Amino acid sequence: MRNAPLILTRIKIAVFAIFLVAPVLSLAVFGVTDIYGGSDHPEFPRIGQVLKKRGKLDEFGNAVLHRSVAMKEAIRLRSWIGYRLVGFVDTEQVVSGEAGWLFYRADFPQGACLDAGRAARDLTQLETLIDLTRAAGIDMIVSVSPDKSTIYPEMLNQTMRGYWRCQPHDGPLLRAMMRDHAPRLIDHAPPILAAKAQDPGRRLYYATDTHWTPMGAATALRQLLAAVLPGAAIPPPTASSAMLQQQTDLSRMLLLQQTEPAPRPELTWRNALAGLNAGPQAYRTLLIRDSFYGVLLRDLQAVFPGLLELGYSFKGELDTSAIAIADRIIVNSVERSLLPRIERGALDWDSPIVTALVARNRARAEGCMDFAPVPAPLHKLAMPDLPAEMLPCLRVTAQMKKGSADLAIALADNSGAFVPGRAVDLELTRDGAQVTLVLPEGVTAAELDLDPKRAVLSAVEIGRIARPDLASDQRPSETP
Amino acid sequence: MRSAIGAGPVVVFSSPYFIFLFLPVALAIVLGLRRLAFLPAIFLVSVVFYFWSAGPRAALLVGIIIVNYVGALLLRRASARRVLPVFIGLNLLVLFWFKYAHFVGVNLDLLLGTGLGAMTAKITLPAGVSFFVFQAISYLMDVRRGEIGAETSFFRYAAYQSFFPHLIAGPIVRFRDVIGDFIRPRLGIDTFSAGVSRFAHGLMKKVVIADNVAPIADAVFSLPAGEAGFASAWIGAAAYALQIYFDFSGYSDMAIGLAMMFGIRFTENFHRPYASRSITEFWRRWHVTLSSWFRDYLYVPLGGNRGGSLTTYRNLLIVFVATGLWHGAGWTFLCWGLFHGLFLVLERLLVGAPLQRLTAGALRYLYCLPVVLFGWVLFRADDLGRTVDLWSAMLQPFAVESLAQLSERTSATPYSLAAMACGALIFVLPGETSFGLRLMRQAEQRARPVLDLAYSVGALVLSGILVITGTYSPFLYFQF
Repeated sequence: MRNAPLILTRIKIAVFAIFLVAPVLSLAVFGVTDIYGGSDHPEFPRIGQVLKKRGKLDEFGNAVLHRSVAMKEAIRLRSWIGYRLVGFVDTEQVVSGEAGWLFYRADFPQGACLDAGRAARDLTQLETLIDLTRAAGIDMIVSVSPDKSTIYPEMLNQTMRGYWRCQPHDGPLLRAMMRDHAPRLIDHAPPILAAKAQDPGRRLYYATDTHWTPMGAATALRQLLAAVLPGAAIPPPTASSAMLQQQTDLSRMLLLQQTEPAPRPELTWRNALAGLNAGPQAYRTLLIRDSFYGVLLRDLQAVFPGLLELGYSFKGELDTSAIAIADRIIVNSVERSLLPRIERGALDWDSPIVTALVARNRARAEGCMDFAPVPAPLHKLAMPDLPAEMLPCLRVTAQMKKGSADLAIALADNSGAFVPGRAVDLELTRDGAQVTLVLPEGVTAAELDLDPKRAVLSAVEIGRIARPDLASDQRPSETP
Repeated sequence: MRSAIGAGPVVVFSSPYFIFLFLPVALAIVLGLRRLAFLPAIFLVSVVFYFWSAGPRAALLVGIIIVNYVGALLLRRASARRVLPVFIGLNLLVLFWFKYAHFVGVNLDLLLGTGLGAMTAKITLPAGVSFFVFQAISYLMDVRRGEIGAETSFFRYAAYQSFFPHLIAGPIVRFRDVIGDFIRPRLGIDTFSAGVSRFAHGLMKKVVIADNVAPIADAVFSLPAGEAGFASAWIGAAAYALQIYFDFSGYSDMAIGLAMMFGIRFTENFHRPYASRSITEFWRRWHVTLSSWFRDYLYVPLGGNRGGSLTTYRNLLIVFVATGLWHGAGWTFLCWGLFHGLFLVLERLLVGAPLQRLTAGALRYLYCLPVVLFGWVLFRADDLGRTVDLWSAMLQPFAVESLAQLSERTSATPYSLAAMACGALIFVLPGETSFGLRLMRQAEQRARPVLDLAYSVGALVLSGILVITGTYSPFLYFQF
C-alpha cells in the first residue's frame, strides 16, 4: 500500500496518454466510422495547401477526428446528456424548446432583430423580380413556408428566452412587410395557423424536425393550388389513419435518431388533386424549392404533369436550363431563408436562377418594336402612356470603358415614386453592352445608374410589346 | 478573448487538433529524444506548432529568434549603448507594424486624411507576437544589465524563445528563470503527473467555465443601446470578468502544466486576482508576468518611484497606458489602461491610508471588485459609446427588469448559468494559493492521490467531450 500513490500516479498518466490518443486509436482499431449528422466526412486538404495556407492543418485535423468513432460517440453522449438528462440542448444548430421540442437555430437571427427598412427593400426587390418575370411571359408564383417557431411559438423555451428574443418582433414584422411590399407572395402561415386553431391536437409541424407534418404540408398545398388554379374546387385535407414514421432531422443532427409518427392526408384527397386541371396541355411548370416543398413533391407532380424541378442546395454548377422553357415557375422558400436568399443567395440579381430569368425577359424583348430614343438626360426617362394590352420595353446601349459595369435600372411606380428595392441590377460587358428588357406594367419612369469610370450611356430607347397571356393573372389573397 | 493575443485562426490548447493530434506527437518526439536532442526537438515541435497557427509566418518567429540571438551575442562585445537600442527597436518595429500600424493609419486618416488606413488594412497580427517580442526584449535587457550572460547555444535560446506552451499567450517567461530547466529538464514521473493535473485543471477552466459564460457576456455586450437594465448590465460585466479570468488563467494553467510535462517550470501568472482589496494589489495578482515585465523594463527605466510623487504618477500612467495598448490596438484598450493607472495613482495619492482602515471584505466587494468590473466593461466594449451605455445601466438600480427580460438579454441557458455559478466562487474564495498551483504541488508530492486522480480524470473526460464535439457541424440534410 505504500506504493499506492505511485500506482495511482501511473494510472493517471496512463489515462492521460489514452485520452490523448483515443480518437486516433479508435480510428486505427475500428476504422472510419459511417457518415453521421447528415453530412459527409470533411475532405482532407491537399498537401500543397497545407503547407501554404493557414487553417489547412485544422482542416486536416478535423478530417481525421470526424472519422473516428470516439468523436461520434462523444457527440452522441453529449446529446443524450443534454436532451435526456438536463432537458436542454444548446448547440450551434439545435436548441431546445418546451416539452422535448427542438428548434433549428438558423430560425433565430444572432444579434440585431429584423430591420423594417431592410425587409421592405428585399421584398420590393422580390416583387420586382416577379413583375419582370411575368413581363417575360412566365407565370411566377412565390410562396413562403413558415418557420416552426411561427406556427408554434408557445413551444419555444419559456425560461431560456435569449435565443428567440427577436421572434415576437420579427415574425409579425415580416408578415406585415410581406403584405405591404410583396402582396403577391403566398404566405402559408395564415392557413396553417387557422388549421392549428381549429384542431389544436393535430400537430402540423414535428416536435424534433424542422419541417411540417404531412397535414401541415397538405394545408399549404391547398392554399398554393387555390392561388395557382383559381376557381378549382379543392377540399380541405383530412387525416387518414395511416401513420408516417418520420426520422426527424434535428434529432438526427444530435445523433439521437428519433422518429415521430404523423397521419397522412386521406388518399381520396390526394387522388382528387390528381384530377385538377393543371393548365394547358403543354404548360410546363418548374418548381424551385427547398425541402419544405420536397414533402409535397409527389402531390405536385400529380397536379402538374411533367413537373420540372430545381433545388437551391446544389454542389457544383446549377443547371438552370429548365428556366429557359418553363411557362410557370413556382418558387418556394422557408421563411428564415427568404430575405437572405434575396440579398445574397439564390434570388439575388447575380444568382444563376435570376440571371436565367432575366435572360428569358431579354429573349422576349427581342420581339419589342417601335423603339424611340429618349431625349437627354439619358439616365432619367419617363414612360409613355401605352394601351392596356401593351407593355413598355427599354433598350440601353452603353460605351464600355472597362471589361464590365453594373447597370441599375430603378423603376418608378404608378405614383412616380422610386422606392428602395424597386430596381433591376444587370451586368454589362464589352460583348454585351446593349440590353433590352420588357418592363412590368405600371412603370411610369426609370432612372439608370452606371459607374462613369466603367461605362457611359450612349443610347436609351423605349419601345413596346404585347402583354403576354399568363395562366393566372389574379389570385385570391384570402385563404380558401 | 477579444483581439488581445492575436488575429486569425490560432491553435489553442483547448482545440481538439492540439490535444488529440499535435500534443501526443510532440510529447513522443521531445521525450523520446530527451537524451539525444532535447532542445532541437523542442524547437522543432514549437516551430511546427507556430506554423499550424500562423502558416508561412512561422518564418517571422524564426527570424526574431535569429536576430535576438545575434543581438545578445553582440551585446557582449560591442558597446551596449550602440547595439541595444537597435535591437530593441527592431523588436518594437515588428510589434508596431503588425499590431499598431493600422490603428495609427486609421487615426491619421481621421485627422489628416492620409489614406494610410486603407494601405495598412491588410496587415494582420501573427499569433503571439506581443508575447514573444516582449520575451525577446526582456532577454536583451537582462543581458545588457549583466543579470544573465548571452546564450551561446543557438538551440538553447531558440528552445526558450519558441517553446510552444508559452509562445501564443504567455506566461512571459524570463530567460534567467527557466534556462536551468532547459539545460537540465526536471523530467520524472511526478513532474509529469503534476503537469497533467495542472493541464486538466486549466482545460476545464477554459472549456467548461469560460466558454460557457462567454455567451452571457456576448449577449449583454451586443444589446442595442439603452436596452440593458441594471441587473443585465452587472450580470454581463460579471460574466465577462469570469470569462476573461477563466480563459486567461486556464490557458496559463495549461501552459504551466504542459511545461511541467517537459520538465520545465514556469512562473505563476495569476494569484486569485478577484480576492484583491485594491487595484495595486490586483496588479500583483493579475497577469503577473506582464505587470512585472512592465515594471522591470519600462517603469524602472523611466525612473520608477525615485523621482518624487509627480514623476511616480506620470510613470504609472505611462506604464498602464502601455499595458492597455499591449492588449490591443484600440481606444478602449488605451482607456482601460488609463483607467487602471488613474486608480493606482488615486490609491497612492488620496485613498491609500483610508483604504487600509476598511475591512478586507469591504475593500474587496465595495471598492476593488466594482472598479475591476467597470474596467472590464471598458475592455470588452466595442467602443467608448457602448462603454458609457453599459456603465449608465450599471449605475441605475431602479431600472428593474423582469425575469423574462433578463433571460432574453443575457441569453442564459442551464449550462451558462451553472458555469457562472461555479465560476462566481472565484469572487468569494480567499486570496490564498490558487487551486491549480495546489493541485500541482500535491500531485508532485503524491499527496491525496485518489482525489487528484478522480479530479484529473473527471476534468479530462468532461473537457474532452466538450472539446471534441465542439468541431461538429452537422448539415440539415434535405433528403427530398
